[in-house]
Amino acid sequence: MGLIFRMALTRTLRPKLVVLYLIINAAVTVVTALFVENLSGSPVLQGGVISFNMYFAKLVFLWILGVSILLWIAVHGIRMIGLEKKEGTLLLLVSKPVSRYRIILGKYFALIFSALVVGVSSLFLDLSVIVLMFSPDPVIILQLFKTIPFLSLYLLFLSFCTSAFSLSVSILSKTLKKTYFVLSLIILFIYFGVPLLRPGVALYQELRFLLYFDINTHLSSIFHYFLSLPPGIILSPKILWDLSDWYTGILPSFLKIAWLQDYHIKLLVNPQLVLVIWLTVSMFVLGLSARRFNKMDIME
Amino acid sequence: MSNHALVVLNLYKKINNKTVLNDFNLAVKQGEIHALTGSAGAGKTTLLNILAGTVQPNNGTVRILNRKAGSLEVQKMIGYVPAKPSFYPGLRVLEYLVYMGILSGLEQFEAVSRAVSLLKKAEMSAFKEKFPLDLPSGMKTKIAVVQSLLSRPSLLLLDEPVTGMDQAGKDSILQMIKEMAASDNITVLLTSALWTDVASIADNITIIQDGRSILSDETANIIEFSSQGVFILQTSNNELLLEVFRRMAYLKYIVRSEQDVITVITGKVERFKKDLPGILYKLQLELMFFRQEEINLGNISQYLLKTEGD
Repeated sequence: MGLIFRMALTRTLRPKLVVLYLIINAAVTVVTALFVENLSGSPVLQGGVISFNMYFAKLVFLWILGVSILLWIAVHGIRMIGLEKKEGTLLLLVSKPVSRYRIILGKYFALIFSALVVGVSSLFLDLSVIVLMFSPDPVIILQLFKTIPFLSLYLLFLSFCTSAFSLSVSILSKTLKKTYFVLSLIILFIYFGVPLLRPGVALYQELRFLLYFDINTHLSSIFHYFLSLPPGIILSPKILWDLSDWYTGILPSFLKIAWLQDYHIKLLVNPQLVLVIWLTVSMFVLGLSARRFNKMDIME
Repeated sequence: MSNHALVVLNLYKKINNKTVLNDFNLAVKQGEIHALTGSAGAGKTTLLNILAGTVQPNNGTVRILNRKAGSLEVQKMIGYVPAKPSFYPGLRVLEYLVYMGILSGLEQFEAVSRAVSLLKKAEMSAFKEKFPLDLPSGMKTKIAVVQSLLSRPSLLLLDEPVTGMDQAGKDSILQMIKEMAASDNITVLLTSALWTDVASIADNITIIQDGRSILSDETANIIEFSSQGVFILQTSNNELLLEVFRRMAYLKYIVRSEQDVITVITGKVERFKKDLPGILYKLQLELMFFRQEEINLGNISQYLLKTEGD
């Protein structure tokens, strides 16, 4: 398994690819920072510890440890098996005296490790970029850097689950391009589509059960949980709850339905429970896919 | 069957609702070079995939060195070269071989020394730092063959190793396979669309068509067989004529097609032509159709299609 892990990791963490990822990541961070800074006409990011922390938390949830890292995991997860199928090396690999479960596990852990490397690197890089851009108070800088170990735990959870899903899709899919496209759409839907649909769904009593399956809320709930762990961080509960809702609060405000604004929050179950549920579900899916892979005919 | 490296009995495999292997049987003795030939889609690659453990059969028995095929234990004893040798883009020849060697169960130092020695044996030491994907197809095949020999396999499976090569390339690869198999007493099963391509090194040849083995014999016999005459005939009572033909020892293959046409293959061409009128007269049969054809190395299988029995 160690050899499969090393090989998969070498193929995933190609220096050029990692550098490109970090550059794109930092570029988006710069653009969003400039956008937020100039949005309200007042210097939002120099408005104090809370507003700065809030901005950073949103950036991490939505982008650094959101869409960006999930796209990395999805693309590389699909490539783990899909590319080997396409190149023909999978046929040779499964003809060797190596258990197919070990092949899957080696690739799975390589995917998690690669996500941790690029995720943590981009956290440091993007935070440094923000510091360089806005020169915030040293207290704020210290607080933000303190969150990184806890955000890494969130990243670990995220990569643990999404690596399992993307690897499973990779095992079952037949075409690489279509799978890339569909998975990218799903990720964008979770982060931008689901929150927009949420208030609409909440309007109809008979559809409200769907809110329990709101993956965006699940993720933000777990994110909040990890973000609230570091001691001495000034993040009020209000800010924590607002994190995932800030870009979807427009519709409830417009409709003037006050209870709707935080309706989904009432549905939140214990974040630890959500975390355990997602870990279990992802392991179950990976187990089923690995079982399927074990019996799968691999040919040219 | 104890001296057999490979025994395949009543093997069935369906892929996408198409029967690819249909009651296929094969026996390969230890140390033998056995060629499996047939047209594209005949089932050669699927059979090799099953033997290599990458595809599971729907039914039948496959035993490799008296062990059930598909297990990790059996995979350790097999060297496999797919029809399209595949390589990892970032790995050089030696790195690739070492990776494959370790996957095959060797320790790293052992994989390195084995790869170096095999490359030397194959006169390819100069290429060890090259990227395999940059090399011509003949070289790629040689590297793939070297890869398959790393773990000193007892059975070597080579899928179309010489397809698409010029004669010099074919000779070079076949010579390499023959020498390496002989030096380590390896049993070899190789496939080819054209049996003439591999007849020079094969001890035995099996012709596969539509997933069935339609002819399996020593290469010398098949070459002799290929020089025989083919007679296609139809009479007023084919059933009666078949009974007589089956008693004639010098008629090696007698086939009755679905169109009720009898095909006879024999090396005693003149004798058959002399005997036939007498037989027809004696049985009071009317000859409705008769044609003599030349048989050659490339078209045996077409005469043996839809065989009723040898």
